[in-house]
This record gives sequence, C-alpha cells and structure tokens, in this order.
Amino acid sequence: MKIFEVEPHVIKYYGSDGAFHPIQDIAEDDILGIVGKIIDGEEIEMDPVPDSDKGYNPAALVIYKELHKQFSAISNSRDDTIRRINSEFAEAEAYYDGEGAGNLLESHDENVWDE
Amino acid sequence: MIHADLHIHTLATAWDENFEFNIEQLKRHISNCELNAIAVTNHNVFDRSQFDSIRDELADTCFVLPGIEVSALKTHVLVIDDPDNLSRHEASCKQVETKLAGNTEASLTLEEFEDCFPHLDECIVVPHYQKDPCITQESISLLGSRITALETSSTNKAIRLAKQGELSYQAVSFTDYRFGSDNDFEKSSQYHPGSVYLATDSSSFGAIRHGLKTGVRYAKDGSTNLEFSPGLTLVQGVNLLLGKRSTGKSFSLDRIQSVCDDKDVYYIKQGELVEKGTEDTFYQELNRRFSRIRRDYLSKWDDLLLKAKANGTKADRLSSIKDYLKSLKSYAETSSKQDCYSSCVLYTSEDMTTPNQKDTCGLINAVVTLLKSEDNADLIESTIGRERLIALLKSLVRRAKHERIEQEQVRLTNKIVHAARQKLKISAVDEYPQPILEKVFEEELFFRKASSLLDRCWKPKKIADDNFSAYSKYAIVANRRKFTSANEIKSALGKTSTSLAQITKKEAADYLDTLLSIPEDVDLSQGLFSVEVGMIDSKGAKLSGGQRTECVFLGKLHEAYGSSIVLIDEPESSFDNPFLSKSIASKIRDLASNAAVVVATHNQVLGFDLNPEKVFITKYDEVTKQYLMLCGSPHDKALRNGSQEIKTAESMLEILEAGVLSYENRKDYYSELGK
Repeated sequence: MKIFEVEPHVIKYYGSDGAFHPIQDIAEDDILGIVGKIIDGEEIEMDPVPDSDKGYNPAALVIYKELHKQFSAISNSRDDTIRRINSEFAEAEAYYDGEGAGNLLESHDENVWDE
Repeated sequence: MIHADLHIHTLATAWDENFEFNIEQLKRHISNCELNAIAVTNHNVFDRSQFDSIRDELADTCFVLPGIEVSALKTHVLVIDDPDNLSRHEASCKQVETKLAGNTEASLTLEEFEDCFPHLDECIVVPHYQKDPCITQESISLLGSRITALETSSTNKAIRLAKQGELSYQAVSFTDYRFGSDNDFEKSSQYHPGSVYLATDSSSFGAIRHGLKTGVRYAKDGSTNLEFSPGLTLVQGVNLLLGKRSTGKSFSLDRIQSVCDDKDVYYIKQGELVEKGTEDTFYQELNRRFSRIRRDYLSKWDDLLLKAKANGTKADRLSSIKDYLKSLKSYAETSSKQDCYSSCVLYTSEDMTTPNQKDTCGLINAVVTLLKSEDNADLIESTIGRERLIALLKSLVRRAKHERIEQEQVRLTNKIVHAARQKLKISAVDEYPQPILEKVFEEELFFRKASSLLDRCWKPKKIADDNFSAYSKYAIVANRRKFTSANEIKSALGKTSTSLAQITKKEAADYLDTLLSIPEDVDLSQGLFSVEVGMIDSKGAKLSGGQRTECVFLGKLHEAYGSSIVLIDEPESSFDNPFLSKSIASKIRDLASNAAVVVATHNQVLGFDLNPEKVFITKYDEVTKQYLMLCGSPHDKALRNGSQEIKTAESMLEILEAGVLSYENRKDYYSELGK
C-alpha cells in the first residue's frame, strides 16, 4: 500500500484514519502505524523524492526526504531484522510452546513442609 | 548398640587342631573389642560345665550365650539358644554328638538336624555362607525363615553382601577363633577381627536374635546411645513409646528434645499434621516449597523482559517519535535559512554505525581451548592438526585486531563529528535530528514478538509431573495458567504502586505494556502468568483433607532425613491403618537406619509394623502419684527401670490391643469371619 504520495506541489502521507494528509502534519501515531504495517508484512510504496524542489514547500520536502530515507532503510533490512529478533526468541518459544520444559520435578529435593 | 562375637571356640574337638582353651585370651579379646555378648560355639559338642565356668568368669563383663557349630546340610550351622533354656540346649547337643559320633566327614540331614533341635524356631540359626563349607541355595530354602543370619568369612564380604541387598537375610562375620591356640593370638594369621554391632542396647537373647535379623551394623556408627533420663537411653533404630492417655508420652518427647540441645532433633508434634493439611495452608506451603519450579519455568523470560524493559513501553516509543518529529520539523522549517554553518556536511551528517560484534573473540577462545587440551590432544592432532590450529589462531587474531581498530575508528569519528556539530550549532538552522526509526522498528518488532509469546503462555498447560516418584500415592504436578485477578498478579509481583485494575481483561500486548510501565524494581516475569504447584491422587483428582494430611506427614518424614533424633507424636490420629502399614512404617524404618526415631503411638498396626529395636512404656502410678517409664527390647521378657519391671508382651498387648482378652476375642472374631 502507498504510504507516501507525491503530487504536484504537495507531498502527502497515509494517515491512521485511512486518508492522505500533508506530510508536515504527520504525527507519532502515524509513524508507529507505518512501522506496524511493515512488521505485518504489508508491501509499502513510497513515491520517489521529487527531482526538483520547485513548487514544493521546502520544509515538507526536507521532512519527506528524511522519512523516505529511513523507511527505505527499514524496508530493506526488514527480513534481516526479523530473523535476528526471531533468533532471540527461538529458545523461549521452543520451551514454552513445546515440551521443552522437561520435568522440572525430576530432581526435586525441596524440604517439603515446615522448617 | 550391642557388640557381639557369636562364633568362638573354647574346646578342641575332632574338627579342630589341638589347642588348650585360655580364658585370659578370651577376656583380652572381649576387652579389646569391647564386646557385650559372645556365644560359645564348639564343633558338634556342648560342654555344660565349661560353659558354666566361662559364664561365671565373665559374669560382670559380657553376656555369654550357649551355642554349638553343627555339621549339617553339608555346611556348618551355628545354633545358639537362650541361656534360660540351657538344659534343652544341652540335650539337643548331646543328640548331635551321638549322631555324628566324631566322624568329621559326616553331616546331619535336615531331618536329623530338626530331630536334634525341635525348638529350632526359637534359636539363633546362622549357617556358613560364602565361607567353607558353604550352605547351598537349596538348603537355605529348606531352612527358610528359621535362618537368623548368614555367616561370611570376612567383614568385607558381609558389607559387600549388605550393599548388594540381594539376600533375604543379614550377612554377619565373627572371629571363629580358638582361644588358646596361640600365645600371641591377636597377631595370629588365624585370628581376624570379626563381630557385629546390633541395633539394640539390651543384652537379652531375644534382643540379640532380633538384632541379627534386622539391625546388623559392621562398625560402630559413632552415635552414643542418648540417655534422656536416668537409666533411660534411646538406641539408633525405632524406639516405640507406648502408654495410655495422660501417662506422660508427649512430656517424655518434650524432655528428649530439651536434653538434646546439641543434637539435631526433628520433632513432628501431635496435631500439627492436621493443621498443616488445611487446604489454604497446604497449597501455600506446597507452592512456597516448590517456588524453584516457578522460578525455573519463568527464567526463559528473564533476558527478554530485560530487553523489553530497556526498549520501553508503547508510550515511550510514541514519545521518542514525537520528539524526533518535532526536531525534524523544526530543522525542516529553519533549513531554508542556510548559512555557512548549516551548509557544512557535518551539520546534517548521521552518526556512523558501529560494526556489529562478530564471533571472532569467541572463536579465538575456542581454538585456544583446543590447543590447551591435554586429554584429547591425540584426537585433535589426528583430526585437525596442531599446526593448522595455530595458523587459524593467527588469522583470527589478525581479524580481531582489524575489527577492534574498525570499531575504534567509528567511535573516534563519531566523537569528532559530535564535537564539530557542537561548534556549528551557532547556525540559525536547528539541529539535524539523529534518525531513530530503525531503532523504533526493532523495538516495536521485539515488543510484538514478546506479546505473541505471552499470549501463547496463557494457554493452560501441565509443565511438570513427578509421576508419583516422591509420594508413591500422590503426584506433584505444576500447571501454568493466566492470572485471573489483579490481586493475584500484585501478590506475585510484590509491592507496586501501579494500578492493575482490569489488567486481566487486556490483550497480551496491552497487558505486557502495563507490566513494563511499572516503575518499581520488581521481577516482571512473576507477573506474566501463574505457575501453580499442586498434588493429585492416582485417579488424577484433587486431594481430600485426609490425603493432604498424609502428604504433610510423608513430606515431614522426607524432611527428617539427616537428623540424628526424630520424635513423632501419635501420627495415627489422622490416618487409616492401610496407610500406616503400607506407606508410613517402611519410611520410618528407613529413617531409623541412621537415626534414633522415637514414635509415640497407641496404634497396633504401627506398633507392630515398625518392628522396634526398643520399647518404652509410660505409666502413672495412682498410689504413689508418680509417672514411671520402663524400657527394654521388645524381645526381652520384661521391661525394666531400676528395680521395677513389667512383662513385655502383656504390657504391649494392654496398650496396643486393649489387653490379652480383647486381642484373643478379635482373633477369634476374624478367624470366624467368612467361614
């Protein structure tokens, strides 16, 4: 899905309300929403940064250049990052999802009842 | 403890080399070995007059038993009788003498043997085993329960057999020495120390016989019998404390505890089993005792939660994005003001990323370990070769150096760039914000992964089961489940000021986020889900009140292991007889193999099944208004204290069976049932 749209004279982002808004208005919820979409595996699209600055609000252009760069980097490294985080959870998942706990009572030597 | 040598020779017979009995040697033997009891067991003969003189001579030193070593069943069998039955023993021995008629090759058949000793059931019967001439397996079967113990040729053999635990009888070893055959007898090659310690402090025939059957020790265990009142001592093993109501049993147990200050005493008091068996107390205690299981099971979450906590909550992530956007927008709005400072590349440069930590250092350590190995050096040499390992080590060290330099270069570069940026801040353009979204992406990904795992951990599951190994009738099981109330979570976490209201209704992500927002330093893993330790019976059902009390008692017996004195006050009040017989008696006997266990009871099943080494009977004398305690081996004819004595069997029957008449009536009643 398209998250950033470059129209003549205006650059927009896809907001969490399902509509496009000027990039200058982007807020933290919107950013986290886009991050969530990337995590969920949605294909995100971003129009390329305009070749020419002419006709665009300079501030909007600076913001877009920055966000475009960062989200491109995130998209490119997404699979590697997921693999890395998955590996951090692999042991715990095998333990809690499977029979990995073994028998925790096998060598019990607790003094049962009273001091 | 009684120290006994029950196989000694005092008469040269056709089965011996000639020697002249020397009482002084025997006295030295008794004195050196601190023997409490000996048995005179000459080959196929019993010399009454010599026995009487030995007994008189040793009257103040040692208990002397009349015996004989009989050639029977193609082996030698020690038959030792009660000194009170000297005449019948003498008569039996005469028959042996007559039947064998001095023929050293002859051996009595079972029938002949039984014919000579019609009272064999009442004697101590010890055939040779792993000692020449050795008894056959067939003869062991023929003699069956009439065998008291088996005599081996050395203490080591006896210990080995005891450790193997395959014999139905206890293995013993005696000196089997002819006293008088050598002037320097302790150094004689034929003299080897042999004797046994018996778990009783009574030198009666009955106590010794019982000790040979159940309480043989091969060395003095170092424990001295504990005198808790003048003339009253506990023995290692089971000490049965009997008495009617209000005759001072509990008082006596308290007294034993009070005089054992320096000893390790474990006391199971009357009534406390029921108290600890109430549902709440029982499960609280069970979970407290097995808190290790909870800790172990949750431990896989420790590192994950540490990282999640460092990453922060969703609100933290939103806040950092907010700050970032604020800076970015501010920079964007002022960037058009481009001046000579902000137009410098360094002004908007991002920090260089430090190269990821590689496993080079770990590999270096691994290769060094391989090179240092002495035990497997040959295998390493033949498979890889030391030279190649050294070459690999050199390459790895070079690479590690390179990586270290690279990291240092990045660190220094960033430091220089930061310093330059500081100087350029006089620009009218706001500072360029360092990018954070990749970090936010990683943190959010990590958080979602953790939430998903938590959601799965909420699925109820049995996580441990001891399969009835600890408490045969009952299994300890541990289950995981979602917490059902905020109070439960607060109690698991410990003190926190954070409101957890409605938390159990939240999805895993919100639940985890709430936990991560707790400011106090608490163990968050405890708040993830519940790990409950419980017990079930063989039908898989939750335990009833009585069953819980049984568990408490079994647990206490388990806990008492290692104590030198264990006091148990009337355990029977909470249990049925099958449980006492099947589960408790054997456990107490096990415990008594290394401790003096005192059991106060009225219960005939327990009293009988415990097979005690010593019996104490408490009485209250209505006339003198005094409490009395008498003691002895249950196999003694009488229990004593000073000049007072009572008949053992009658007294025990009175307390355990409500008297002889009641016992006889019950016996008749049961024998009539079902006819």
